[in-house]
Amino acid sequence: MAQKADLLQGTLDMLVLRVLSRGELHGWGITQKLEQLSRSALQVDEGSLYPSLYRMEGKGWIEAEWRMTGNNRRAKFYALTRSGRRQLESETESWNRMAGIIAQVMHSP
Amino acid sequence: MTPLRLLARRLRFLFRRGAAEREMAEEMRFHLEMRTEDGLAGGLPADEARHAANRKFGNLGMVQAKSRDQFVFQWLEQLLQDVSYSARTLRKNKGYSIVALLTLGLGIGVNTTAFTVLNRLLLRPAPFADTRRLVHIRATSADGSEGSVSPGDFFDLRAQNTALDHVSAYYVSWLSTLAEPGQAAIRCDSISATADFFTALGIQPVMLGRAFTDQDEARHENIALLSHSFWVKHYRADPRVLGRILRTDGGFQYTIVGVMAAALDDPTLFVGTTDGLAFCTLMSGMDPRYRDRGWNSVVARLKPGVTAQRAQAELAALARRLAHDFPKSNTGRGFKTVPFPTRAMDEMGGRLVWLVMGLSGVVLLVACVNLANLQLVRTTARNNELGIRLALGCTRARLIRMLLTESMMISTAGGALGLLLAQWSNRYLAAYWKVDMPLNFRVIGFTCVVSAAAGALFGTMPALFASREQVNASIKQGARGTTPDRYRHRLRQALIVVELAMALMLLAGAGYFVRGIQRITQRDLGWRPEGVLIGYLALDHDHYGEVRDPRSVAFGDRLISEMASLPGVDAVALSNDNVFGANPINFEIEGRPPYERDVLASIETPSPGYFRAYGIRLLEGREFRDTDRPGTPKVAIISANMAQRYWPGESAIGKRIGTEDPAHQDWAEVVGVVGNILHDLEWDPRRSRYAIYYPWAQNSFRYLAVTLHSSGDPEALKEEVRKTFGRIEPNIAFSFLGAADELMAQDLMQYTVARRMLVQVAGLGLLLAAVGIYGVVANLAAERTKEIGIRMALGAQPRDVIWLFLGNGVRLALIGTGLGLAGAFGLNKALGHLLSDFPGNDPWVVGSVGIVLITVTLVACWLPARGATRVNPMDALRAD
Repeated sequence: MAQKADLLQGTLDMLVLRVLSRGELHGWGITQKLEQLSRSALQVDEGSLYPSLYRMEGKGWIEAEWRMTGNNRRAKFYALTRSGRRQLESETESWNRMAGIIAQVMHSP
Repeated sequence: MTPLRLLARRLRFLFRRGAAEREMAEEMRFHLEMRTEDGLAGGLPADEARHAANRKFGNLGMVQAKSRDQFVFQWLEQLLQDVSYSARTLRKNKGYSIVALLTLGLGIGVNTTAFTVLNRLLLRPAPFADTRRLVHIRATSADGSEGSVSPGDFFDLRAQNTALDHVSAYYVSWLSTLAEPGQAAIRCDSISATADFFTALGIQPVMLGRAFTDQDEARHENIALLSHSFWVKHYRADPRVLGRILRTDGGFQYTIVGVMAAALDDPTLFVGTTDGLAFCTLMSGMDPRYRDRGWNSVVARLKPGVTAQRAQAELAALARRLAHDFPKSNTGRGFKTVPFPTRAMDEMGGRLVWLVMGLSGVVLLVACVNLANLQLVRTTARNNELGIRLALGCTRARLIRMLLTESMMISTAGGALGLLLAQWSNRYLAAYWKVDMPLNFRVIGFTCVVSAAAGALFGTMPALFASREQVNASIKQGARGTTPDRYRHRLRQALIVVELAMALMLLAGAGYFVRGIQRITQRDLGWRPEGVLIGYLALDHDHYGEVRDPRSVAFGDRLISEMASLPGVDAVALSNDNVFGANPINFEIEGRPPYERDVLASIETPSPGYFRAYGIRLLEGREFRDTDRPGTPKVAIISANMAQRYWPGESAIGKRIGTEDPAHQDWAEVVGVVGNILHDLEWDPRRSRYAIYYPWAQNSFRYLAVTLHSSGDPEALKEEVRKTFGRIEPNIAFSFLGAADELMAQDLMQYTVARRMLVQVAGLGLLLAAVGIYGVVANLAAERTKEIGIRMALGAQPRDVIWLFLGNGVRLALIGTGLGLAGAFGLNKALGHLLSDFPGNDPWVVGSVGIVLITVTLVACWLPARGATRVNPMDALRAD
């Protein structure tokens, strides 16, 4: 298992939005997907995930619906809304810019 | 998600709490189950898998709480929680809730009522455009007094200024009569104004026909506009009224050219009207050479970009030029711009309304102090509960908010009750002023603000105190049931002191005005209103002429002899005016320099019975006789103050006086001196106006005042008088017939209403203060039950215990009344300074108010103390 990293402050929302941009998922699915995509480097704390989901639902970036899962259990599925997609784009953009700037500073001779 | 759906979701969470909570729990349970299955799949035993999942998830309750925080309007939810909790508490403490509600309802009701009056009579903007640029010009004299503008000055003001537009003159004549052929005369208010008067006011003047034009004014057209209400009432809103003739005073005829806009019907619009305008005539034919005296009000509009200061400077320059060119009339005269006076009340009335408002505010403060005290007592009793809340992690801010919510709920309910009370009392006030007193948005807004302020005021301090509570101490202390801490004790005593001081100042302030109003209404008038019946009428011009017509003299003789034979009548007199409205004018005295412009005398023209009918004392010489008739030597009677001023130390009899026109001087010999009388609303006998009386028969005029004095009730005579008059002259009716008391009441209306309001406000204040003081002392006594029990058990006599309480009460009463007396004397001094004309100062009022309050405090201390001594010591010791 690779070394675990703490999530950078304020990045959870962006990561969740990114995960959801690939399709609808329930909360459990989101944690799994994040671990998978980060090759287990990221561990999502449930204590942060659900408040984040509810906050974003409150802001209208994602919406939720109760549906059946593949193995026939009821779960609450989250999906990106149009404004959520816009939010993801803008966050991605500012993240890239910031990462570029930080890299530039760190790698400067 | 659209905002609307978002809101719907949030509200669902708020109101369908249970369902939303269940969903959240289910979602998290799903998560845990999935993780457990994950663990099982990884080969863990079932127990361990579940444990691992739980460990990983963390504290489920915390996660849920944090999630919840994200989701709902938290503050709103807490507010709802607080509201429902407070509602439950208030329902449980019915006694407290009812007392608090009544106290606040009365306090707020008084304030709302006072504000409604203030709002309607003083704050309502006139329906004129941009009133800030509208100026009213007054003439000032060397001694600083203000007056009307003379015709000559008006024309110069209009022609020689660059700062003002639409300089226009008007005057309100409040006794003009409308004589339609074949109809009885009607007394009504009218305005006479130059053509651009309405343009200056910036109001659309007519709803039918046309307004006055400059051409009309140049051609001296005799034209008039009817008021909307007059048109509806007397012409049945007939549009064919245009072109018809309106006949008024002195046989004038005006062609009706239009009907005024309904907005001009408001009776509070023009100072000097009582029932609203009836019509407006075009002012014309003023003599531009006449500068001695003025009767016109002048209004104008500042030109665009011109400041009031520049206009004032320009007027001052003009006044200097005029003083130079016309030294005889204009020396010392200046011009002053003031805001357009559109109030229903004179200056004194306005001050009274502000005063009632201010005192109502104090009443509300007293109410708030009471409630703060009650709240303190209650939070003390709730110490345990509050301490436990704090111990369980409730933040202080949250606790304060919870307690404030309760106060706010009471004050909101109090505000609603106050509005109801105001609605009810406004009906009476509206009838007094003959205007509507609407509870409009401004009034309701005021009530809301006042209620919120009151709630915050009486709620904040106890809430702060309660939240300062040390968790440990309060729980322990509550359990032990000892006396509350010193701090709180002190605070409550301080509140009593403040309450006493405020109540005393309130009563002293109200007393100042009630006493002054009493002095005004009960002043010695120099004449006697009891038993006096007064009738006003106008003889018609065609049959009785205008002035000194033998036909009106003959009519008067017959009227007097017929009326004198009515049962119970012991004096009958005719005059052109009477004690209620004699015109002040200038006069000259033979052998002295020409008249002084600012010295005026009321001119009255009574028939012989006049002084007897009004009970005016004859001090020297003789009354008029039937032989003082046209053709016999001109005679006059003067008032004592005038005789004193011009002939001090000698008799005025035989001296000669005359009117202001030296070119046609017609001296009259003084044959008598009578006592001074107070005219209008004069109240200071030392400053009563001079009066000159000429015999009616030598000065008859077709406007008549008939005065009868009878030994019985004047009201009962009315029918007889009307019948008798109808026999003499069936074509004319009295425009007014009523007791002198009735006219007095009309004149004093604003004072009597103000007095009534003040007495009620002050009485309410006293009641609240007394209840408050009693409540606090009684509560302190109750808290000391145990102590009293110990004292009694140890052998203290009831007397000692009562003295213990009384001593404490006396101390508080003395401090409170001391502070209050100091404040009250300061207030009296300030009021005396502010209202130098008002006879309110009376140290006895302040003194007796102080005594009343001390008595109230002592009774309030004594009652609970006596109660406490009757307690069985054993019961007291066991008391919790």
